[in-house]
Amino acid sequence: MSEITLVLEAIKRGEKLASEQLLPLVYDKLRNLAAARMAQENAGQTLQPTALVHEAWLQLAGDGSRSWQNRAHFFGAAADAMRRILIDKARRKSRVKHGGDRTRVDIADLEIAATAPDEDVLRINEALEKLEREDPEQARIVVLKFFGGLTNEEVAENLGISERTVYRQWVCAKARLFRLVGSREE
Amino acid sequence: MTEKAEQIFVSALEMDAKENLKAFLDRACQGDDGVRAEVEDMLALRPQIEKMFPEGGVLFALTEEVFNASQRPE
Repeated sequence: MSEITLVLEAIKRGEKLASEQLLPLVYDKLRNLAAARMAQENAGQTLQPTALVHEAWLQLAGDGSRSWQNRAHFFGAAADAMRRILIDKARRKSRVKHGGDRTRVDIADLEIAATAPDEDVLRINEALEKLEREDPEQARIVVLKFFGGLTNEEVAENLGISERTVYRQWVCAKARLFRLVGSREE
Repeated sequence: MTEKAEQIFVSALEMDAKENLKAFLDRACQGDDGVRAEVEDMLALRPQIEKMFPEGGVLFALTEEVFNASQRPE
C-alpha cells in the first residue's frame, strides 16, 4: 500500500497529524506540476485547477491508486484530504492574522495569505458540519464537489446515485449552506 | 428551506427559458405564500450563492496560490 493511501486512510479515521504529513506532499507536487505546466503552455492559456489537482493526486498515489475501488472512490478520499488540508491551513492563517502562534508559520504561508478565501472556507466548513448532521448525502456532495472538484458524473459514481440527483442536491445544498453562513453572520 | 421549497427552487432553475416564471410559481406553490417567498428569495440570491460556490472554487484558489508560489524565485 502506498504512503499516500495510508495517509488518506488515516485522515478518514480522523487522525489530525495525517493532514500535516500530507500538506507538504500535496503542495510540493502541485508546485512542481504548476511550474512545469505553465512552462509548456502558451501564454494566455488558462490553468485547469481541477485537472491539475487531480493529476497531482494521481502522481502522489502512483501505483497505489490501483488499490482503490475506482477513480471516483480515490478522488472521494482525496476530497476529504483536501478539506482537512484547507481547513487546517485556513485555521493556521487565521491564528496568524489574529496575532497568535506566529512561530509555527513560515514566510510562504504569509505570502499567500492575501489571495486565499480562508475565512469563507472556515465559515462554509462550519455550516457544512451542521448540514452533515441534517442531511448527510447533501453534505457529502458538497465535500466531493467543493473540496474535491469532482464532476457530477464522478460524484454520481462515488455515491451510486444518478447525475440528475447530484445536480438537484448540489443546487439545494449550496442554497442551504448560503443561508446557514448568512444566519451566522446576522 | 422546506423540502417543497427546495423542489420548486430546483425545478424553477431547470425551467425552459420560454416558460413564464410567474405562471410556474403560481402553479407549483398552489397559493402557499410562505413557500413562494422562500423560492423567490433563493432565486434572487442565486448570483451570490454561485459566487460563494464557483465550480472548482476552492481548488482554483489553491492552485492559484501554488502557481503564484511557482513564479517566485527559489
